[in-house]
Amino acid sequence: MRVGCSIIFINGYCYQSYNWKIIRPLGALNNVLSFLDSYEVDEISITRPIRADYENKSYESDIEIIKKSCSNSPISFGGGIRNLHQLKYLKGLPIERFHFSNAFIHLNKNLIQKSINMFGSQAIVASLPLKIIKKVPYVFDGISGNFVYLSKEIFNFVSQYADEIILIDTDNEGLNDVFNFDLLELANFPTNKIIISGGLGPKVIKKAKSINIASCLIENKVLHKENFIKREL
Amino acid sequence: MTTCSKCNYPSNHPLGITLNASNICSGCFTHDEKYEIDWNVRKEILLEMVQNYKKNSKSFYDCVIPVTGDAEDYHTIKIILDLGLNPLVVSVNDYFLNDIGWHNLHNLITYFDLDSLLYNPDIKTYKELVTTSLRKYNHGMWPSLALRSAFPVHVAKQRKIPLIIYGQNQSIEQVGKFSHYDEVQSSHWSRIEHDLFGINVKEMCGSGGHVDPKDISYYVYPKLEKLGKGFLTGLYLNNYFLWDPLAQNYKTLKYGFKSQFQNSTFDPYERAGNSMYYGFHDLSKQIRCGYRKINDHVAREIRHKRITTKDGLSIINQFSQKPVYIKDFFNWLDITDSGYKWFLQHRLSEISHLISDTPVIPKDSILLPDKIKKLIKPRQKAKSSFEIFSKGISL
Amino acid sequence: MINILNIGFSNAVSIGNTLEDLEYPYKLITKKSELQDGILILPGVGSIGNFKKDMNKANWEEFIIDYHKSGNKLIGICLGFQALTKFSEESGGTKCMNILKKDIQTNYFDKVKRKSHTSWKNFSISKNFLEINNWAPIYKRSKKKSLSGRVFYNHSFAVEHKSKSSIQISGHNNFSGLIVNKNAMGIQFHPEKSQNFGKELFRFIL
Repeated sequence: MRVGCSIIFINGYCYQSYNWKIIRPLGALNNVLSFLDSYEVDEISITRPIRADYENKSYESDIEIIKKSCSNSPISFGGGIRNLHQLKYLKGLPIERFHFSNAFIHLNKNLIQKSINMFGSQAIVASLPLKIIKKVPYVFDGISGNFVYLSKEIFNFVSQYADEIILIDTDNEGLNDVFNFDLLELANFPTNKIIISGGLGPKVIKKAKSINIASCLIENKVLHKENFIKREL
Repeated sequence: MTTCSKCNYPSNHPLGITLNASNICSGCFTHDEKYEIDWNVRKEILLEMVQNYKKNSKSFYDCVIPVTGDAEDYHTIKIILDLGLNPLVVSVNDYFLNDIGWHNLHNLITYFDLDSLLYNPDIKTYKELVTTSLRKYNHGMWPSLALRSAFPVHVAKQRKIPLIIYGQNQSIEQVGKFSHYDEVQSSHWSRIEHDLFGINVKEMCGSGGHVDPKDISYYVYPKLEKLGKGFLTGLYLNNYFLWDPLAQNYKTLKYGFKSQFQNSTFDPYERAGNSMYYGFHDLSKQIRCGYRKINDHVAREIRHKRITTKDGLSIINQFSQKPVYIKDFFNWLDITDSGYKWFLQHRLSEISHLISDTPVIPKDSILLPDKIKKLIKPRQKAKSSFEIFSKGISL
Repeated sequence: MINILNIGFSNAVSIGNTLEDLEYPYKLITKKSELQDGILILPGVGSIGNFKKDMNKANWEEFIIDYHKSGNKLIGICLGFQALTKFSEESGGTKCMNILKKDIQTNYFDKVKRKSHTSWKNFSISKNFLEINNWAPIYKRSKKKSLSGRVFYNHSFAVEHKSKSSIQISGHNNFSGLIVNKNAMGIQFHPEKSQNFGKELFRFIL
């Protein structure tokens, strides 16, 4: 199982997200990447948090910064990639994988298929920010800014086209060691394709390893202590 | 430029800041955590942690405490001693202290009867770095920050002391970069990102700076692989105690701490005794960030409900117009008169109205709320600046 | 000179960044006229179908085959490795450059579940392996006799060389992590994204 780190990036700067509501500053991208490299994290996920209240104007300028970034660790990147025009900016970036959220939620087959052709099926990851409401899984739709029911159509589309699936526990995002494993049961994807994020910690990671999860992405905390992953896990 | 509707911090704060939908900044909403947290529980967590380190430590000292002689250092030391720890106090002479500063540093060590180390860096190299920092970044304090953040780590590593304890984490107190619940610790990343604003020491060597990389080993953080896996932990006390700088610094007067009457702020405690901080550094902050130190103090006191937002804006505006004398800094740096004039003309022209030709004598000319006034007296006036006091010379 | 073919594959820039960090002389090339004698690194991510399409826009395949025939070294990384084999099952079946010879081809990594292989795996290589396969590093910066560490894989197709052979080092299951034959080296994992060990490996092979 891989253990990596997830960071939020927008308008040229890195941020931290808590409970899907609070955003705190973090630091400059190259500094963050340089130290994550030195900590030898298994992977780094960089996400632009395009939620309904954010504007997507910074896409091109953010891509320019990513283009110049330098890291010797595997990186996945996503957030706000919503149309074919935006795909062309991704070619040649020093990025191994791309994650899509709204493209999967809105069943954008054209965009996903084109991405697979350009980058390979191993590079396409679905990112699903989830919440449980009355024992039913809901996924965050960045376009409407609301949580919508994780329907069978979305499930089938994700299962067919996503190489791996990031399940984000939005309620516990930024908290310590409280990831809700009920999300896995309710979302029902095969565990060896799942990446979990939101409220991770040592006990959660131990449990994730025991059930053959593909990867854990620790949000925020990886830079809260020197060499967090090697020290705490 | 947007500002926080509560504390008036601008959105371009150098440590990074976010504003929520109500235009309240991350510093303000993180500050409010202080009133939700059970600090007794946090203290117990800290106690258990430090006892663990104490039990497993092979060193005579339980922890390193980096100090400058600031009021916060007095408060920090008091807490450490009350926790039953045996600290080694480590200080760096940045050659910026005045008579009050030297008194406060020596009084700290004497009053609490502490074992201490004071590092006096090679002054030629140090001044060369200050000159380079000034030339490249309009910042005179980078070398001091680099030394103060790295040297204690070297001491801890050399003496196998597993803990370094600091007072506040400035990025939590000012901009809420982390939640108190994160219990964030110090790290090499946080040093580069927050203490040294992203600048590595390599950038201070070469390109005009006559500094040999072999002369700057204590300006550089020890390599991660040399620190060992999980060897060194840096704790911040403001994660475990409700941190109220003005109120707690006021209490340090009883330990013999001398506060300094400042012209550009009402706070007589923070960096009392430092010739740079409210001198050149305050002006360069204006150039680099668009605001002065008074902004930090007002934001803090608004959050602690001693100043209202409206009064805070007025206080900031008034203090921000106070002049500063900076020729003493350039004299200390051995810059000629013509060099000084060049700097004024080419780097500080937009704030020339804030530069005084003669030393400034602080005056109480700005109306402050009573809640502030009762916490800031008595105050001393500095008799000198940039006292080169080291290696046995008495004042 | 170390040439890195840069016709839009993401790992070209990452490889360049790593070589920059290691202070190797390298050039990211987009035109044939820029290619110098020495080593050509062929990066590649995506699907082999798209890879061929991009290569054929400027007739790169034939040029690379000739470059190799004239005694220069080739290193194919990830999809670039697969492009050096004879044939790939991807994109409905694709004829590749067949530079590695020995009937080596590229197949589905997991034909049943069609899931990628995305993980870190242990990898070892020795100087002896390079010597018996006539791979002489040009820059000789590593004094080590062998290396062991972990490397990062991210691929849906893999090179399968069924017979046990001295020319390959196994990656995972029956698939190759690295193959050397006739001055051509294919690497399935991403040394440019394998952190410190990846950098050591570059020093070992270049």
